[in-house]
Amino acid sequence: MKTKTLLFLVLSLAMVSTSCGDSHVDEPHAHNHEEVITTVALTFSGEGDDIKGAFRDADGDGGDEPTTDAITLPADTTLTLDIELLNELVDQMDEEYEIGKEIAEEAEEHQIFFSGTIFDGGVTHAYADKESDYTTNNVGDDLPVGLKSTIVTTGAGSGTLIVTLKHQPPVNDTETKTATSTINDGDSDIEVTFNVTVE
Amino acid sequence: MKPIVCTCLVSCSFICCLNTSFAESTSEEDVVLDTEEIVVEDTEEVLTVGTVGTETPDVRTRESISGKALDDTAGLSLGGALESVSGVRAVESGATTKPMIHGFFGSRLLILFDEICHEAQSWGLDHAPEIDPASAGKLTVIKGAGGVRYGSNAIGGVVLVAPPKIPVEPGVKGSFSLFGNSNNRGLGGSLTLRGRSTDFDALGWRLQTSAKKAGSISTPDYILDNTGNEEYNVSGAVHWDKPTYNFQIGASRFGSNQGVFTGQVAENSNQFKDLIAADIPPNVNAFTFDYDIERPRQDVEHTLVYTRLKFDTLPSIRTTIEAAHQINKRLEFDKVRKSVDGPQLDFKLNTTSGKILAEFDALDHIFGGIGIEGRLQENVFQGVRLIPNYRTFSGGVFGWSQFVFESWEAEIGARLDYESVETFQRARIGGASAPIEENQFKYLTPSFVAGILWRPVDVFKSNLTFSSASRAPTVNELFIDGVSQGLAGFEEGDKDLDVERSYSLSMDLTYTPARWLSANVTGHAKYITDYIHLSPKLDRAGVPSITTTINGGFPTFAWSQSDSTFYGADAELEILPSDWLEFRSTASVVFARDVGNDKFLTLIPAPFFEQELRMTREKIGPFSHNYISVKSELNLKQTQFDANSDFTDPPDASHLIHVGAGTEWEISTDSTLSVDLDCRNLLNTKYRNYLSRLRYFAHDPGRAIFLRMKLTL
Repeated sequence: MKTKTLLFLVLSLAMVSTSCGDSHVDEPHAHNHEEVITTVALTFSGEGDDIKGAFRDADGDGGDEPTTDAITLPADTTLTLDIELLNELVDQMDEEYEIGKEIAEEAEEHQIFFSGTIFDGGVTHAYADKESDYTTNNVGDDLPVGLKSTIVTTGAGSGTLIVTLKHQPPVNDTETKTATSTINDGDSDIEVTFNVTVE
Repeated sequence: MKPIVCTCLVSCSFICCLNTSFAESTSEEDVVLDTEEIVVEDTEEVLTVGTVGTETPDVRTRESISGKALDDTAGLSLGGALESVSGVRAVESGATTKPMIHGFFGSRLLILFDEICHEAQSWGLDHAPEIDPASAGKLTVIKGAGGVRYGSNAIGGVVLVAPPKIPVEPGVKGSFSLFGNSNNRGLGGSLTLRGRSTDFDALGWRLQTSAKKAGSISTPDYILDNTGNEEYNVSGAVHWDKPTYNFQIGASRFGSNQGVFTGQVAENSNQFKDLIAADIPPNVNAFTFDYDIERPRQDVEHTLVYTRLKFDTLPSIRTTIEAAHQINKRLEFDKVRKSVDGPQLDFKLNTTSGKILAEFDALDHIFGGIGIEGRLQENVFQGVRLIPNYRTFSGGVFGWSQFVFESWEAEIGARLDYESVETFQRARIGGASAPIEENQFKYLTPSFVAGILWRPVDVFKSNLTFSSASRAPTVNELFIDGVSQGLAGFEEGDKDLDVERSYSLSMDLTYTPARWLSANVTGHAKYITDYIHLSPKLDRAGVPSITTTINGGFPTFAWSQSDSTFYGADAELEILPSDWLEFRSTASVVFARDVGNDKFLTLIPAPFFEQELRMTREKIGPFSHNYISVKSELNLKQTQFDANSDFTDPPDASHLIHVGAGTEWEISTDSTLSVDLDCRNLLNTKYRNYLSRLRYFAHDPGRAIFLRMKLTL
């Protein structure tokens, strides 16, 4: 009887001690930011100085409110729009910092869409890149990506510019990103709204 | 549930005690003792038969599923199996189900496996309890608060999962069962072996293992992409049973990998609106049946080891010392860019607990016990900012006493728990060197129960219970900060939340005027102060708040607390008009209201009615226990809701028909083979279930034909 009690206590202790071995409760892991995008930076270039504007949520989802720059574009001009996607929660040297590079590498599953009221007033958008600019084209059709676009402004006006990044991976081996796929296909990774004035 | 000590001769000179329900139903006929149900209660060769087992009787409303009724749930999850108890429903999310008692689920229910409290990430709607129902010999539901001996926080009730009993006589018993499900082309099997050594009659053991694999679920019109799941479980125990003591070591491991329906993944608010506005999922043409489990998916493992020593300190006092350790791992994988591998959310919960309990039955009519319990729990989380790490220490003292007399019983019990929670989380910015935010909370949660059972005549039984229980806020309620998976909402915790307390009254009436008629009604009412719930956050002007993220705006939901009421009733009627026909009817209603804000609460089950007609025939040639059954399940529309309090209005009422048939073949005196066919949703009715998170996006499963076979040796 006594030996059994002893055995029981030893076993219990063994279980308690193993439980305390490998935990880091009070040393929490750094937040895992591999999927996070904090910043969408737009650069409009043409004849004059570059025009820049960014959406920035420096602390990630929640926390402090994100900031969005207002953008002013010259009228009757053709501009090249380059989009940079950053994860500013990681160090600049980190390979996760420039998310845009990863999007370029997976261009066949991603597309950036441009919408908003600014396009009701004469501003036009045309894609100026193709999947083959960034990656080998495995699927065959060479579709636009949207990291580079051409924006043409006409008369003065103002409105919203919504930049939406869609992840369109194949579903059960059927391609989602096709010549006919739209902003309604796939999952949104980014959806930010800028106020744009043309003058 | 009064143990009547009746001197009936079993095999040798055993004296058995029968619980009342068993005694009532068998008072006019031969007592058939199922050896599976016999356990050595103590060494004076006193046997306990039926539901009493190692539990003490109590005056609360409890219902059990065991034997054939439990076999008939093979292939279902624990939540699904428990739905056969009236008043118990399941909160679903694709292939996962969580049990719900009278509208309470998650951290308001205690689930115990072999008397050890199951410790898991139970807070998410898609976090199902990691317990294999095939490892159970009996499932018991104690409705309502007051399970003071089982643990704190049990505002809604207690679910006891008891493994099959180890046989008293030397030898090995076993059963092997197989099931198939036509809907998701699922297959599963379970093997249970139980034995007692012929050389050392003190040595008993049990071993159970099960596996299942299923593909995509199909609704009447389309397939739910990526809803396959697979599960591998094993559990076992070794007992050393001696006249004055009993020593047990047990272990169990649950492992599952399950897909999350791709059509419910909304990364953003606009996409979510499109998904819920669509009558059928937008991408439905691309959905095909397969067994592959792709992202998004969840990988869950639960390991439990425990040991228990029971010994008689005095002839009338039995002491139990118990220690347990549990490791719960949950990995959640999102649909991500190809370059990202590994899980997006990674939770590891370690719990070590110990208990000392002394139970007495010193006087013939007074039973009871006192105990102390302690628990150390550590949660380590890795992923985007969501919940902090935490370390919880909790300790509790409890005691109860029962007074059992011929026509009445009474019980009082009380419990006091202390909980200290320390939380640790990195600040948002700064990566691995970000400062650590620390918080500490202390909670005191008292519980109390007083009940009386009155049985003036054999045909009538009633009980009345008053109980009060309290629950400390959980860490997710205090701290959650992030977009909740699948439901495009941004959740915010509130670290000022305080303990919620319930005051509840329940009454149970059972009338059995004849062998062919039995009626039971349970009424329950609860007032909960500071009930903690999640609701849309409003700004000062009363306008719903929006959290702006890089992926658009999300409606903000915040945890808050306000006084609430819950009341309702379960009714059950059983009529056996002839010896080959059985009719059962159950009804269950719950009403809940947030009285502090004068609003309805969400996710409360709508009125539910079930009728079953069963035709039985004891013998047809070599086949016994033959039956054909038809069941009607009517789920009304939930009308108790406020406009705009949820993403969509509750779905319409649904009516489902299930049919079943089964037989048993006695291969030899020791072995039987039972075969059952069970067709659920016979008419392939298209419906949505209010308690399923899937209902925002898709319909519920269509027709499912289950084939179950069980070989008992």
